[in-house]
This record gives sequence, C-alpha cells and structure tokens, in this order.
Amino acid sequence: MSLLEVNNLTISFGNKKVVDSISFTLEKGSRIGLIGESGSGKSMTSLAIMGLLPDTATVSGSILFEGQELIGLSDRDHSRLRGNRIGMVFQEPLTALNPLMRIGKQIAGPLMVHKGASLKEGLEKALQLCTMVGLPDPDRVLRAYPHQLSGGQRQRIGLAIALACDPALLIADEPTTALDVTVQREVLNLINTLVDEEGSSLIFVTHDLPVVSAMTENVAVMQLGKIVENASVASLFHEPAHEYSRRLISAARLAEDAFSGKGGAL
Amino acid sequence: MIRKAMKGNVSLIAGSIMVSITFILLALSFIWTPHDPLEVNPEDSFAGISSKHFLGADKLGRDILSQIIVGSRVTLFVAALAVSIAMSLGVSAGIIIAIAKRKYQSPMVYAVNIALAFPAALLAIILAAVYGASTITAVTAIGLATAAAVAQVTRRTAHGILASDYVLAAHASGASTWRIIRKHVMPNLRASLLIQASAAVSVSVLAESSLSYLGLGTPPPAPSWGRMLAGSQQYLFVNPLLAIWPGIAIVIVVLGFNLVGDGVREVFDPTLRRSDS
Amino acid sequence: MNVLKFGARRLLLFISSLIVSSALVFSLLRLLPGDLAQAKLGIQASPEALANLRHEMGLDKSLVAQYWTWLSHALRGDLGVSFLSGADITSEIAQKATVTVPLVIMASILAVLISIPLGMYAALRYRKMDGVATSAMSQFGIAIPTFWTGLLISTLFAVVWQVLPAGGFPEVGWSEPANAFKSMALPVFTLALGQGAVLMRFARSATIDTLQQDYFRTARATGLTRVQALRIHGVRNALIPVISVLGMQMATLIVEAIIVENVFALPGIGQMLLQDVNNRDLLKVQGIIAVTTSIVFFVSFLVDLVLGFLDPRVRQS
Repeated sequence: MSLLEVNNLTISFGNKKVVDSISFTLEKGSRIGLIGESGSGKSMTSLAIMGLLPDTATVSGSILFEGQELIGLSDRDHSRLRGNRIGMVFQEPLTALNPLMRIGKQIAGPLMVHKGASLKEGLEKALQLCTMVGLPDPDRVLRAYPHQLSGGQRQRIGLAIALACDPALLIADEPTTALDVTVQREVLNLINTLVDEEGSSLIFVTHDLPVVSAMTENVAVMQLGKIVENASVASLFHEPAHEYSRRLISAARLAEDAFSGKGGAL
Repeated sequence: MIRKAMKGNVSLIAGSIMVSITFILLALSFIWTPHDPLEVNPEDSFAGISSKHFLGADKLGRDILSQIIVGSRVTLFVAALAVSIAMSLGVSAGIIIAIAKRKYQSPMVYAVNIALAFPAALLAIILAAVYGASTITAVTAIGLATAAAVAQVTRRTAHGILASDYVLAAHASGASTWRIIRKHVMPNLRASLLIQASAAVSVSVLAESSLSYLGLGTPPPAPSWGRMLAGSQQYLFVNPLLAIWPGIAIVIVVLGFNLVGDGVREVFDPTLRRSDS
Repeated sequence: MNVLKFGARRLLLFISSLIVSSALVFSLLRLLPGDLAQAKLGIQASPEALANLRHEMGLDKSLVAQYWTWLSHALRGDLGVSFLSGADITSEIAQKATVTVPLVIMASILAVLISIPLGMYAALRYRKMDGVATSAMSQFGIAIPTFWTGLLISTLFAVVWQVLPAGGFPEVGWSEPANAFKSMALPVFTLALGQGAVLMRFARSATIDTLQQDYFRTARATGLTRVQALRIHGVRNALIPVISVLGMQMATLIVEAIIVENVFALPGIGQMLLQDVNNRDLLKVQGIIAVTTSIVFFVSFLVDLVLGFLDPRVRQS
C-alpha cells in the first residue's frame, strides 16, 4: 500500500476548475516535487490533502492516505491527521504564526492536541524541537513572540511545529520563497536532513525548478490545474517532454545566468 | 453604472429603498398630510388605527401619521445641516493633519482625540446649559461632535494615500502639495467620504432623536419623532402603539443610510464583495 | 522596562487629556452671555449686588486664575457647591454614581458577553443564512435609538408581561439588593443591547479577518478543527478590537446611560445632569461633565493598558 494515492482529484470554485483530475502516488519514505506557476493548482492540491480548502471549494476524486479516504472526511476526523500524521510548512513565515502567542505554546500546540501532552511536557519537547531545527538559545526563543524573530528563524519554527508529532508525510508549500537566498539554502538543507532522519515522505511545492531539484528526485509539473509532466528531475532537465516544462527550464537557466549561479545552483 | 453597482448588492438596494421612503415622506410633508398635524381633536383622543387615523391619534387626538410625515422635516433638516458642518470641518481638518509636518501632527491628533470624548449629546447638553436648548444648539453639537469622527477617519485614509507609491512618485517629479491633494488625495478619498457622509447622517438622526427625546432638541410645537416618543412614554399603559410608529420611522432612516454606506463600501472595495458573496 | 515606559506614557497622556478637556468645558461654560452671577441673581439684580457676588465667587479675576482655583479644588475632590440648592456637588455626584457606575459597568460586561460569541458565530457562518441573519440583527441593533429600545423593552416587560418594574430605584438604594437589581435589569439590558450590537459588528469583522489569516491556517494544520482553532486563536484576536472599540465608545456609552436613566427614571448622574441643565446650574453641570469625561479618559487609559497586555506588539510600538 502506498502512503498517499491521489486519484482524479478535481477542485473547483463555482464553474472554475483550479485542479483538474490529477493523479499521483507517493510511497512511504519517498519524495515528490509539485512544480508550477502560481494558479497552477499546486497549493490547492496540498490544501486538499490537509483538508484546509476554503468552504467554497467543491472537491471530487479520491485521496487515500495510509488507506484512509480523505475526501469527504469531516473537519473533526481530518483534524486528527493534521499536524499528527501529516505536517505542513507554509510559505509566509511572517504571517504563519499567531502574533499574540508565545512561540513555545505554538510549538507545543500539536503535542497537546495529538499526544495528550500537558503544556509543561509540550514545552519540554518544544525545547528539543528548537534545538533540532537549529535555533540557537532555544529557551529565549520559546518565550519570544513571532515579531521578535527573523524570517529564517520563524520558518524553522514552522518546521518544528510541522514535525512535532513525527508525521509520516511532510508537505512543504514554497517554504523558502519568502526568504533571503542564503537563508533559503540553510532551510532547504535542514528540511533535507530532517526528512531523511525521520524517514518521512515529502511533498515539496514550488515554482522554482532549481530549488525542487535540490529536494526531490521526482517532479510533477502542473499547469492550469493539470499535471502535464511526471518525470525524474534529471530527465526533466535533459529531455523535457512538455512545452511548458521546457519553458520552466529555460527560465531557470536564464535566472541562473543572470545571477551567475548565486541564486540558482543549489 | 448605478445599475451595475446595484447588482447583487443587497445592502445598497435595501438602503436605497429606505432612504427613498424617507425623502418621499419629506416631499409629502410639503404637499399633503391626512390631517393638520397640530389639529387637536378631543373626541379622537388615543384613537386606534382607523380609516380616519391610519396610525391612530395621540392624547390630544392629533393624527400620528401626519405628525410623522411632518416630523421628517426636523429630522432631515438637522441631519443635513449637521452633516454639512461635520463633513466640511472634518474633511479639511483631516487633510490638514495628514499633510502637516510630523511635529505638528501629533498635537492635532491629540486634539481630535480629546474632541472624541465629547459625543453629540454631551456637547448638546453643555450648549443647552449655556444657551438653552434649540435647533441651533442641537445642530452645532451634532455637527461638531461628528466632525471629530470624520476628521479622524479622513486623516487615516489620506495618510494612507499620501504614503502610497504613486504619490511619492508625484512628489519626486516635483508636484506641489496642492496639486497632489487635488489630483491624488481627493479622488481617492471620494469613496471614503461618501461612506462617511452616509454614516454621519445616521449618527445625526440618532443624535437628533435622542436630544428631542430628552427635550434638548427642537422645541414644540413643531412635531419631532424623538419628542413624540417621549410623549408616548406616559401613556404606555393606555396605548403602547404610540411608542411604535415614530421609532419605526427613525429606524428606517438610520438603517437606510447605514446600509447605503455599507453598499457603497462594497462597490468600492471589490475584495469585500468577493468574500461576502 | 518597556512595559513601565509604555504605562508611564499612557498615564501622562491620560492626565494631560484631563486638564485640557476640563479647561475646554470650563471655557465653554464661561462663554455664557452674562455670567454666573447674573444667572444666579436674575436679570433684575442691582449692579452692586452683582459686583458683590462676582467678587465673592471670584468672577472678577482672570479666566485663567478662575480655572486654576477651580482645578486645584477639583483635584482635592472639591467641586464647589450648587448655587441653586447650596448642596456640595462632589457628594451629590458620589451619591448618584452608585446608580450610574453599576449601570455602565454591568451593561459593558453584558455587551461584551453578548457580542463576542454572536460576532464569532456570524463570522463563522457568514455565507450561511443564520450567519447573515445574525449580522442583520446587529445592523438593526445599531439603527435603533437606545431610548426606543428602552421604551419597547419596558412596554414588554413592565406593561405586557408585568414581570419587572418600568422604572424607578429603591429609595434606600443598594441596601435592598434584590429590588435594586430588579430595577437595574431593564436599564442594563437596554444599554447592553445597543452597545452589544456595535461591538458585535467589530467582533464579526475581526473574526472574519482571523479566519483568513495565515496563522489560523497554521493552527488548523497542527490538528485543530475550525471551531477549536477559533476558540484558541480567535477569541483573543477578536477581543482586541472589541475592547478598543469599547474604550472608544465609552463616551457614547455614558451619554446613552444618561438617556437610559431618563427612560427608566433611575436617579443617577444622567437624570441629575439634565435637571441641572434645565436649571442652568452651571457650576454643577461643569462638575458633572468634568467627572464623566475623567471617567472616559480613565477608561481609555485602562483600555490602552489592557491592549498592551493582550497584544505584545502594542507594548513595543
């Protein structure tokens, strides 16, 4: 049994299909990149797996996770998987954390929800998690509010929250797009290492081909809600089958030339 | 364009209907009323709903419907004057504060905040204590109190516009402050001003009715909705219906202008519309 | 350190607002055509009598000196004596405050308790019929003048059902707690309804805002349902605008309390104020307004502190 099987997933808002009958599978411990421009449906796909689509969306098809059908699952049942079996890191580290709540409590949240931890136990585990994601001075970080931390630090917190309960699947939705180039590299390396150590599977969502090539072996290229190409990163680079993939690659090369390898080559 | 703005905009449609009803009442007051609103008719004292008195009559037998129709005059007259004062004072103060040098801004903002601690009715009470209650004290009090609120909102909105990239660009290309106000600030304020004006009408009507109720508004005999309600209170046990009609009239005006404000906001702020549809 | 500095700044603002606003009221009331002595003795008073009284009341000194005398007495709790009844103004206000202060406090608490859950509910269901109906209700609540709400409520409870008194307050005040609370019930409810409707609108839009925030999504991604996430992350975020609006509305709330006291014949500060206005008892009017505006500024000072406590970002800006 695969960890995740997406079959003919279709998501629409009114008459507009944002995800159009896509299918892919993800084995236990393996990784896949979802790549495409904004509006290609890649983020909607990950939100559908999380059960976090807006109410106005209508969804059909099937998402099997560990053999359980996720489509049509109630918010309550879906919430038992979120943060527990499936963790997610979001794009905007600036806004993804509650500005009114101390970091410690936010990391302890999933442990208290899913593992029945007390706040004290949660905070102890949060301390370990902070060390794990490479935050210096974790004691101070746990007592801090989000606005007192840098973007890179906040994204590490996001990662700590997502990984708190050792999920079988981590979804990273453009986790480094909002970060500086140097910080980007550190966070990507961190995700790489942690996912390997935990043996989790990874869905890495991005619009940036060089970034995805550093993270996964297989990519699904999405355009206008459809998966237009499903290939290994190596073969995509050498012989892109779809016109859109070719455009993505030449755009990536262009960027690489323009910054003379500073931003692109990871 | 109006039809397009109306489409699917429940607030604007409902609000416009209510506002129209108000203006129809006002127009009607000059043309025709079922009876003379001041005509005393002892035999009709506390008359119920009948073909003679559609909404009944008060203790003196004066026709309620006629009083309500004529009462719209005071309400809308006070509101119109007060809103004119509030908008002209408030908008100019708001813009002046927004364009003033930084060091002058905070004392002016401070002054507006102090003014906000004096709502219309409190100001009216002070003025009435000095000059005696009249339509003029009511209008002045409502106008000044509302002006402070308008100034606050205008300052914030204008401040946002002045900080935007296109204004900075205009500055950089050497446009004068006056030109920037005329070409950039005013056009972009228009929506906000429209919304504020309709909110100000609602606030004024509410304040006017409260003042008349307290006996601090337009003195008798001119009929006013607030005073009709005050008069009805003594006779709640005899005829509770008297406490209904003028209240409904007030709610229609206030709700109408509030809804129009909301509707206009929806028209100018497409994001709001999407999230509400 | 930061917290202390924040508190000190707000305190300074509070005190200076008090001084400025009382000076404002003082000068407004002195703009009277004629003067206090004239008002007291009437138009037929002889010039000698007027001059004597002016001297006695200190009216022959400069306005600034008069204000300073008044302020320095006021700060010691002495607002002077009514020149109609000769009664001590401070103690009269203190006595009437035993009605008005509980009225305003109970109504504010009730308004917050009504508005937060209803506003959150309306926000959570804002595309559904019941959510729309809830926010339409608040629109109505805002449009209904408080005194009319009071009239309708007293018609229902006192005239139709006859379960609660239509007005008045026990002569002996709170030493008859059961009766006092009974007399307070309808006024508190009236005041809270109007205020609650306003606050609910803000609670609703703050909640809709929270629902669209990224951190709300993060919270749900950690395994909370919408309702759970709203309970943990939404209440505090909705509370912030509601409390700051309550602070801004305090002036209005006190005015509404004055009106409500008149609807229900409650012997509080508001009723007294209106009588004094009709009697042109200017020194007393001045005293009452100074006290009520002080309360307004004090509440907004408190609200600033509470917001600083609730929102770590405020403390630092």
